[in-house]
Amino acid sequence: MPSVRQELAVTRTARWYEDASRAHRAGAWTDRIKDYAALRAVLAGNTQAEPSATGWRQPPVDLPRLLKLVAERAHYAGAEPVYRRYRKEQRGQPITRWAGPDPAVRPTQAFLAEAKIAGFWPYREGVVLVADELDLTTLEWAFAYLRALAAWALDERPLAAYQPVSVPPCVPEDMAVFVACSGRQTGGPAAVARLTELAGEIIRAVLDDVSMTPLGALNAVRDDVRQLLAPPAAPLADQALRAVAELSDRIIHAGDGETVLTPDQADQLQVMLHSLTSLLASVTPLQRAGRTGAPLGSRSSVPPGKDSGRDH
Amino acid sequence: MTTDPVLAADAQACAAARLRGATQALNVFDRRSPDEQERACAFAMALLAAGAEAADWTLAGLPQPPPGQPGGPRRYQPEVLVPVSHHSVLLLARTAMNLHIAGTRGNQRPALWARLARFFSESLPASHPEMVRLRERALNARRETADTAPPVFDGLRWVLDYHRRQHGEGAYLTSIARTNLALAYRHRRGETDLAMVTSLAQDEVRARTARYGPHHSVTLMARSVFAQALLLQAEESSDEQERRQLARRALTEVTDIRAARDRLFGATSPDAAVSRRHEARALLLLGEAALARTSLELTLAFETAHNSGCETQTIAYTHYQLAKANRDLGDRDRARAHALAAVRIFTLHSPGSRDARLSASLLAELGCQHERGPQPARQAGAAEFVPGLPVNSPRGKPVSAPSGPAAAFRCGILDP
Repeated sequence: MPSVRQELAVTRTARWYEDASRAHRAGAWTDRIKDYAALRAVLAGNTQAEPSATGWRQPPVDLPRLLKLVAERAHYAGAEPVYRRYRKEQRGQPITRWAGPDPAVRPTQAFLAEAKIAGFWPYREGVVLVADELDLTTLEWAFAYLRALAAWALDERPLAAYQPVSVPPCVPEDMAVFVACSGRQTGGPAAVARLTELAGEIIRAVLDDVSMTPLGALNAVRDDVRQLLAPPAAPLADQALRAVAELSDRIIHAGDGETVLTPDQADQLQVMLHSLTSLLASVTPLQRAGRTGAPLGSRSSVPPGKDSGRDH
Repeated sequence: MTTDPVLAADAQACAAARLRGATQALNVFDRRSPDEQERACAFAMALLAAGAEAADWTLAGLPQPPPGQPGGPRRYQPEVLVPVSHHSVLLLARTAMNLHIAGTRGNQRPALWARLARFFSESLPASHPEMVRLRERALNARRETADTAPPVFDGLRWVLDYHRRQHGEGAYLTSIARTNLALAYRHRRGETDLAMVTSLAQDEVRARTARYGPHHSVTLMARSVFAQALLLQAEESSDEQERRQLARRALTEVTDIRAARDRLFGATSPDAAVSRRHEARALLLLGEAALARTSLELTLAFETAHNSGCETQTIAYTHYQLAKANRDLGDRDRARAHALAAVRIFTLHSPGSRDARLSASLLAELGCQHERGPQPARQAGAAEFVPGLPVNSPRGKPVSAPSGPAAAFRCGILDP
């Protein structure tokens, strides 16, 4: 199975970001950083939370002539230097726009997409930093990532609320990595689409309630994320059978001085197995047939754990 | 280092955002075992040392950052350091504390949270939203040890009013604050407190169900408080019919909560364990002691597995209930062993608490006296807690006493 860490490093956006921000293009990247900073200042001056039925919320943001406002805030004489960086013709540009040459993507949209990516990227890097050192399951990776996404939306609420409200465009690619690394055999594209939708719900949860926390936002979708990414578990009974067989074998063949389990663990296991025997008695065909006269395979009328199954 | 103010501000914002992202990832460890949380805490401390301006974190009650490898961020060399007064540093330190306290005794935690709050009060105004939340956490740490002193109530009421004013009546943080206040009433159990818990919890359940749905973890928290209120009412009722009705209602509720928590957090999670214990309490009230015992034995196994053998305070509640279940089933030896384990662990974590007293009186009822009775933790065999010393340091590693009924017998306190 591929590693989440390695796969996240080579997504299309990861490669674009790495390439764009590389030192030899520092001048061009600096221009972009200044554009994003100007955008934040423009948004901060033009948006504020408003009361809702339950508390305070961040309303959607949509400013006319956004790139012109950004150019003014960044002290350009005109808007052209800014437009040039984000329009579809990219010939001669040291950094090509993230949105590519698609003419359907207008300069403002291309600019907002990059601003969201650049804003969210260090949060994403923070998650990678931790996962580099401490083992995370794929599901935990996804939880950490989505919490970081919520933290970004909290810190950059006006940008997250810019119309159309959507996740930073790197999110679908990253969700595809989580799905690929989850061991899921089928339904990958649908799972990616659903996870991206859930990421969008996290953003909306943050915008709808200014007191929302990353944990609260994640918890709203935790169950769905788990269902999409949790590895298919072997049936519990199979796991238990394997574990009991292995434990018995190791106790029987324990080497000199080897401690397979502590006396406390042995005591606890005995107690549990005693209770389990009672429970098993209610589902074992022979027991059931003998006790109720019911045919094999039919459902027992004895509630689990209630009878004296421990006699056996 | 750039002199351009825009670039300098961007570098600062990026460094802070990296800490924010890392904090979120570290928070994922709060459902791991205490040992793993300790490892994550060491990493958080290394990150604070590498990414924030220099500070003596031991003054904040946090452990010393580990010197170099292992545990430190390998490739993290930020362009700029984030000031201690930045909220990203506070939130990372708060996460580090959350991870750190997993290996501490319950009665040590309020002081640690108070120290963290004091530490940041040097660099942030009291009105800063994150400072309010930090003080709220410190109050809740006291509430979690069943501290029902008037300052705890005054503080929790103030926090609730603050969130109401700042965010609105139905806001997420207001809702959390209201539930915390309900939990404080539950601990105090004054004349009108139980009615207050029920009323607050019922309001919360209604509001959260409407807003987040019945199985959102926040709704489950409120539903759990409500179910506990039902259980308390049942336990205190002298009318047998009313008792059974309340217990049956509580059982239906907690079973649904437990199933949802199993799905959300896993069957071995602390959240699911709490619900399993509540199920057992309801079953005991309904006279189903055998089922209750089975459920509690599972809970104990899950808790032991989750905590890697560390005896956290929550395990004492399970032992206490197991003692009651075994007593009801006539197995007095096992009942005594569990009661003794409960007394021992409560003594370690919260000596003198109501729960410690209840366990001791159950033990007495079973015809056995704890040799020493509830004592301060260090006299009960735990490592000495030295104020100012991180309790997870090699000198202060707590909760390593032998556990389980067998251990109780080996202690020689019981008659096997």
